[in-house]
Amino acid sequence: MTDRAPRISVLRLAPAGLLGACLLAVACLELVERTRRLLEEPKVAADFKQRFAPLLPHLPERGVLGFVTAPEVLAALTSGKGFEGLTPTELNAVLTMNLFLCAQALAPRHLVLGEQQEWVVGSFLWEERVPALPPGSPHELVAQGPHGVRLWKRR
Amino acid sequence: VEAALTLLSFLPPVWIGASLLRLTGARGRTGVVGRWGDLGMALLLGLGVVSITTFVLLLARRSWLGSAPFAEIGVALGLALLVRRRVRIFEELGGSTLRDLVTCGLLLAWVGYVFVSIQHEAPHGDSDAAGIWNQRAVYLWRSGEDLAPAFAAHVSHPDYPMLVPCLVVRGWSWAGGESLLAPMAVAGAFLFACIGVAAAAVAAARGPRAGLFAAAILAGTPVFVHSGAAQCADVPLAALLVAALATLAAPRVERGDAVRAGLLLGLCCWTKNEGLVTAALVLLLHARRPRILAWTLVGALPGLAACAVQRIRFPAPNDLVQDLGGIGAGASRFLEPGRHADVALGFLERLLWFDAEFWNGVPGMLPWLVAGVLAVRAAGFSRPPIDIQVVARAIGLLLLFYYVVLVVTPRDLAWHLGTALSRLLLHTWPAFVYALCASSAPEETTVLSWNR
Repeated sequence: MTDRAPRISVLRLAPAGLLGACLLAVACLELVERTRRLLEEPKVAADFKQRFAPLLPHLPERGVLGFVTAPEVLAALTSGKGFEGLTPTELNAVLTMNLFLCAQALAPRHLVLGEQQEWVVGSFLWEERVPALPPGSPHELVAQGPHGVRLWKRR
Repeated sequence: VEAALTLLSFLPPVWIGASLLRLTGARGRTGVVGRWGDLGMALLLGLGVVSITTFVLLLARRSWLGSAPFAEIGVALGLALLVRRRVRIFEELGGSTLRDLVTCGLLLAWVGYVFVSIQHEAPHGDSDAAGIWNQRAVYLWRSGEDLAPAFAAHVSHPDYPMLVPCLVVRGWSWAGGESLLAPMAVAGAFLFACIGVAAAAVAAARGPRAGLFAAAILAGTPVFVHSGAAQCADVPLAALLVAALATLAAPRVERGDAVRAGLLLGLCCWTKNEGLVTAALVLLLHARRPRILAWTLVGALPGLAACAVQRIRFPAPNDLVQDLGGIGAGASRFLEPGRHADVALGFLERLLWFDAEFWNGVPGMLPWLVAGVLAVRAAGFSRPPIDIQVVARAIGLLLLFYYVVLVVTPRDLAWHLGTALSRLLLHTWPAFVYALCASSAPEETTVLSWNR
């Protein structure tokens, strides 16, 4: 069922046209921004899981592992100050993302923040930051991978 | 090879979806916008079916997952045999103007460019994708016969439905191993389908140019495209919702249409917890049409059954409900005027300007609504050829539900508003754009929707 209808009048669509022009402007800005980001190196490596490959032979097949990150990162987060250009909120997001990606890399084992578990994994998302356990920790270093990835086991 | 297999993995869902469209009596659309919508609708239905198929295989025996491609091809062949004796669509497909083709091409190129740029920047998806959806898929893939680790308390949101994780897992079974391409492809398919279905639904009511205008609004909303590229479940839910509403808002809703809408609503439930509420609200709106309600419920059964099996087999508490502190605590938060003021202000901000967190936000629903009303009043356009009330009420009720949830949330209110509100509004954004363009754009041609 098809009917011919009057041609569209530009005036009729003026208000929507204004908003459409706004969209077009945003689209142009987005194009510039997207191109800029496309030319940049991605901050999170696509082969993130490979970082943890050296740890896997040492780990039990299942269980809950502890997770720590670089002390200066935790200190910056705890103090509420920024860290290398990141706001505390952004830093928290980076830390969370790091934890999530580590959990993916080490699944089906589970990760929890802290160093109370028998096995503790350390990593930070994209910097060459070296994670460390608090002084006096009863854990010893068992294995390490690239990009500051570490694995400790309780003595 | 990985890319080719990932691409190939979309053939059975499209085949299954097209068969389901035919089985439920849908008619083909005309023009390039209509074809985009047909393909989108077939993708939505087909991806939903193969997601449930994957879940069934996982439950039956994890080692059977390798046979997922054969199971899907079997389902597709079975449906195709059924369709042969029933209805044929794609018979009434007509040509398109060069302008429509070029506009469609430009829009797809634009969305594709933004999508690829985001995948390049964040190949694992955003933090919700890495922490919830893709993480669940990894656990399902690596857990062996015991799926419990995928639903353990240490996994974030173990109660969330599994449409997206199951699709990622079946993508890996096609590719022969874990691949970053599978979640990217799933995200891209839903984004493509969402824009196409909304555009085609508008085109069916008001002609292809109005449809393309709707597509341009969606493609030109950065927060929407970003969310679609984030590998999360928000745009899949939005796509399923707009597809279901477009089916139910058509002038004639036959039995097959109601079943199809029900199937889509059931898949909403299988996508996100919010989908369960969405489906309930849409069904509630049809309480006075018992025949449609009954057939919609029949259609929703596969999605609802999958959800029920997940809840029974892997019971996990919802974090918001668990931390609510009981009805009394929730009620006391609800009675705090300050919380209402904060949430209402948050809604107003986001309804005026879509996302203040992005440097590239766009006008939200309110300016578009005003523009639509002005356009209708100035030109006296004809009554919309769709049941606009169904869509408007569904959107309104869903937003009201989100408002109440945010008022009573046990989380820090500012944090919850900042992280959730734009995302929640996105669930209704394609449906809103569909309703707006279908009711306020000038009428070009009248081609009834997928419904006969």
